[in-house]
Amino acid sequence: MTMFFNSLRLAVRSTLANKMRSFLTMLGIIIGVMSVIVLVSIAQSTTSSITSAISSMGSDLLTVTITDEDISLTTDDFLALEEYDSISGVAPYLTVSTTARSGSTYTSVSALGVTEEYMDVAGLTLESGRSIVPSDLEWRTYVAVIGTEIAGELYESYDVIGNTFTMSGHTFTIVGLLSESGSNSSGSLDSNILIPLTTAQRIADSTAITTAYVQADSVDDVALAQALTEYNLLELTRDEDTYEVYNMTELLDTLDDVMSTLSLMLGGIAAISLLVGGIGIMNIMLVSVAERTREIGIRKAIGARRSHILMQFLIEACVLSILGGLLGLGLSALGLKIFALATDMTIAMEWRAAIAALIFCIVIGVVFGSYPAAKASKMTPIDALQRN
Amino acid sequence: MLVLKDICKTYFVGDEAVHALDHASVHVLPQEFVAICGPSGSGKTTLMNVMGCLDLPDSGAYILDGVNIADSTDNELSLIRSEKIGFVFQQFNLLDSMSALENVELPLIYQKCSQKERIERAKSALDKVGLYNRMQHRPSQLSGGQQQRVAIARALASDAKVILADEPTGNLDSKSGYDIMNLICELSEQKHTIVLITHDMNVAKMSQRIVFVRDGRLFETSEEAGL
Repeated sequence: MTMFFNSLRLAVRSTLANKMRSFLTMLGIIIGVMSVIVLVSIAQSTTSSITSAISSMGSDLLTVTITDEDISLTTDDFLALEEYDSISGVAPYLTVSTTARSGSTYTSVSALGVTEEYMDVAGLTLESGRSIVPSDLEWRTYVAVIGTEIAGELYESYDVIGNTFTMSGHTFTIVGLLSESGSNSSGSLDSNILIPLTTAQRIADSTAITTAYVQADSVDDVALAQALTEYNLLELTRDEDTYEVYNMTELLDTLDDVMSTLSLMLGGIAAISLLVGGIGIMNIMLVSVAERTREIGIRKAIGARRSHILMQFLIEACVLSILGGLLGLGLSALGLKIFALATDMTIAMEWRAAIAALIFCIVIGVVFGSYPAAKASKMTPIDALQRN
Repeated sequence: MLVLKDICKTYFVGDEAVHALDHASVHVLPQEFVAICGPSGSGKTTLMNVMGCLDLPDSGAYILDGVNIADSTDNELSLIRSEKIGFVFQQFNLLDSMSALENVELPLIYQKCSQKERIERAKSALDKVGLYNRMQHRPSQLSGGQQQRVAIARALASDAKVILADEPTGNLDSKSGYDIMNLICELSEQKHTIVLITHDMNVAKMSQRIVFVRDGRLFETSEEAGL
């Protein structure tokens, strides 16, 4: 044990004696550790914010998407689903991508043509004004309920009820403002414009509905509601490849899978740079062994064993890699702080990635240090002393 | 103390065999001060390497302090070097990154002494060679003579049975060489066993007994060696 501390002291001293060289050697490890930690942390934070955004919409929700353009289902085809006890609400909707203009301000928007049930089903609430009502659908009125982000872009104010704007050649009157649903990475909830479904069908010149939310009566009924929805769609389309029904839990699982694969991949790529850093350490350790041949000879002559020499160089390699790892850890904490300040997103350091990266550093120190250390320990004292 | 019997050591330079030691036999008694003298290329250094357990002979027996060296493993040789032999080299062979004190401590680290004991023994060894007030200096801050004293202190600190000095004055001017030889003679008077290897008859004459080397063979007198 005394031997170990002596070797450690020596290793720290020789690392400090060549500060510039040690730093350049560690740079590979520092960059490797930083990229592992920062990339994985960003991926994880993004995942959790998307996940929380989706789960806030409710896990009792099913999304229906018609994927075949030749299938044209009507609003009533979807509303028929409401007959079932396990389904509490159906909200077919139509997305129209267009430009909204107020005075000289333009902004591109996705206008959603919705029924009166949409806001309940999608979990949206009003800040002020009213929502889309059945008579709007009946009379195909040009009214709109807008999100706070749109209000900000078009009017720079939330006092927008009664204002008008033009979209796709029609003038819409704003009748309601949606509550802010909190900033999240999808961001789209506050940039919604809701208009009556029938009006949207007129603008799009099509009655075909391709998307809908179906709300189950309770979380326990989700599976039943999904089965019923799929059964009805099969009846209507006679082809099970033309539609997709997702429940949110499934969607979350899929998303989780994708994101963990993604962070694993990012971490893996970053780990390669760690590996390259390890090769740098091996390189410098070989140089160090060559430079200190005489020292090795002297130490052996006065009684050092092979294992002593092996330990000395192995510990030195580990000191380099672990020190590099710790510096990388510190710098990535700093980097994430700066990233958070710059993007207004808080990113928590992913501790599992940090610990994994540090353990990997130790492994790299041992693996890449062992060849130079073995080379040093195998020198015979005579050869080592004779070389200059 | 040191018994070498019929030691042979052959090197190959290219295809040519060089008999560096040819049935060399010598017996060094405890507390004796023996000089081994010979011209360069005579096999002095090979003899020193074998005596210092840095190298194993091809054949013959070498008994150091009652232990037969010939069939030792690498680790056993390390242990013998650390406990029984103190080297003093022509090139001093101090570690320049360490202070004089740390250099003297070094063999004690491999003997697994406690830190307190190491420092005590190293300080007393430096005191013996008259460098107590220079112990924090680096070798590069010391003169050649002082560096050689540190090397001698290193051999003393490890409490070696034998001090092996290989041309200790070879790199020194005559004044400091003379001082070092005086120090070695003093150590001899203090009952240390010393083997001194040199090509310089004037240096060799300061010992109690001279063994001559030529072409890998050992002789008791210079006439026999043909020198």
